[in-house]
Amino acid sequence: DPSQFNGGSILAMAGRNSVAIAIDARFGLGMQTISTGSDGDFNGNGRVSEGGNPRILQLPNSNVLLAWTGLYGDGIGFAEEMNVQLARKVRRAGCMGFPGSSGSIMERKMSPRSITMLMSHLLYRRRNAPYYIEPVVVGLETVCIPILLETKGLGSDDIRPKELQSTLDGNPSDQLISTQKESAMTQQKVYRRIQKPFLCGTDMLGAQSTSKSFVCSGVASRSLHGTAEAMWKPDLEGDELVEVCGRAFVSALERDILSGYGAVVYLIQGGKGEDGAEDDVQITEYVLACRND
Amino acid sequence: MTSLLSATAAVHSRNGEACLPIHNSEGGATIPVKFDGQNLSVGHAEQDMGIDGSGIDHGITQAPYERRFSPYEFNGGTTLAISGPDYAVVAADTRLSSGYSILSRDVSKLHPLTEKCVLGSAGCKTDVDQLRSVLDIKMKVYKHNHRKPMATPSAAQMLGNTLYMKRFFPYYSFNVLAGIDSEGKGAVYSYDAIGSFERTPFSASGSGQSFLIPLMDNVISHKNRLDEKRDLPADEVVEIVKDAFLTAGERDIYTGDAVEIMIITNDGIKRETFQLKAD
Repeated sequence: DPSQFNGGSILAMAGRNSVAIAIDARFGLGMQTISTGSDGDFNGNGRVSEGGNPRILQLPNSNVLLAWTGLYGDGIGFAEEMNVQLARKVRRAGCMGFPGSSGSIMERKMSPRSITMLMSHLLYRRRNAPYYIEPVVVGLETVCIPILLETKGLGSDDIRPKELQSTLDGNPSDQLISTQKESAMTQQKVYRRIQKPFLCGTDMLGAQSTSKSFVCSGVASRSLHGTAEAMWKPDLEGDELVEVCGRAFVSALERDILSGYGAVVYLIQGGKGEDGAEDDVQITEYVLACRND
Repeated sequence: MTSLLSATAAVHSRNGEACLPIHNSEGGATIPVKFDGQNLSVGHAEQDMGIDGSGIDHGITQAPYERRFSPYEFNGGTTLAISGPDYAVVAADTRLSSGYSILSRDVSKLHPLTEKCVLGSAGCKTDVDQLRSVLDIKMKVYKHNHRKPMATPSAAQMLGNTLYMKRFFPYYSFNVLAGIDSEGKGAVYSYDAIGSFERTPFSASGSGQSFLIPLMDNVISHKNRLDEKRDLPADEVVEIVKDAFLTAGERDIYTGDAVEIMIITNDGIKRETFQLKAD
């Protein structure tokens, strides 16, 4: 079975304002393990994941991470195809999101949703002879939520962007009621941009399944469904998300022979600034201890 | 599906291209075919009504096809058993399925063999029922001969032997045995279909086993965890079991409807039922 021949598993989980993706490090030919990523000391850092991890991981821009399991040859082939397309679409000067480049549209980073569409299209092109891979896309996408501003009066320069009511929580506040008593002309609707987690797994032909909680792929996916379903809860953040994702991943790998030999978790965390600044995205790598078998 | 493909290959090699093995009792797809002596064509059912006007071809008038009878059928379900210092908890869902259909939402997979021992089985219902009858008879005979009910480790060995006696036409039954052993401690035994068994801290079998086993590894056996392992009381284990079945019910189509939980202690067996999603 080509999808199970080389082994490997991936688990991605979403939290509040952040996403985590866990990948293992085994590359084998059926039952024989060939590489475990432990020799990957090419940079001399002594870190397991650097250079040696056979799992294919791509970072098109700072918001999005792509990874896939499956047949390794197809994995590399598809990685090259993705690189060509990403170079054409994403890595042009504007779309990386460097501020001050030509025009406001060009300043926006390509969203994970768009990259997933691109990936689905490339996979479906090979409908008759598919790439035997199971990709996972994780990232943060910028969405706009409306907030209400209170303005002092017409012609006033003092506009304090006090968040009276966010449509997210839907709790009516006293201040809002008092504002409504005033003239409607003093109200102004402004949109705030926040980073929302985005998770999507596709099958080998590009059929997407987006999820709010978690997505898994690879040989241990049945076990991963079990542990992740039991351990995920909404609104996890930062270290807690990494802990839950890592624990679910390592427990599932315990029972799987075709994955293992290491677990690395990448956390993409959105900005904590007042206005949820898009540029303030952090990607952290955690190398977990797990069984080497 | 692999059996359908292998059946196809086998019949092709014997009969040539004109024969399509479509029907088998394992639930293969049906494709009406038309054979006019020269060419085989696949068509829609309304074109030919057949001899009795029902539109069903019994393999006579149209292209001859072979039916394969499979003696096994998978009726679905998941069982889970966990042992503790002085108790054992065993749980199983109550759904009976066949293919993609639900036959019943209220069928028990747990069977008390004695006051201190419960057998949970998933797999083919008819084999499970037959196995239970055989075990009940053996328990009765033992009780009459030895003037006491069979102890749990002995029952475990007897079940293993009973399964191996049918080594060449096995009972399609995936069992877990849970009970209190002769010293008063909780005991759980896991089995495969032909009688290989082992005493384990927990055991899960059936269609949802791959969802439950890694979770139990982490929570019950405390694998891959740095905090202190502690002995869990019976009611906490029951909560863990309920959570586990919620998980399995979400992701496995054969698991759902309700969970029957039995808690076995030295004082006897307590039963509890917990509702799951009915989808």
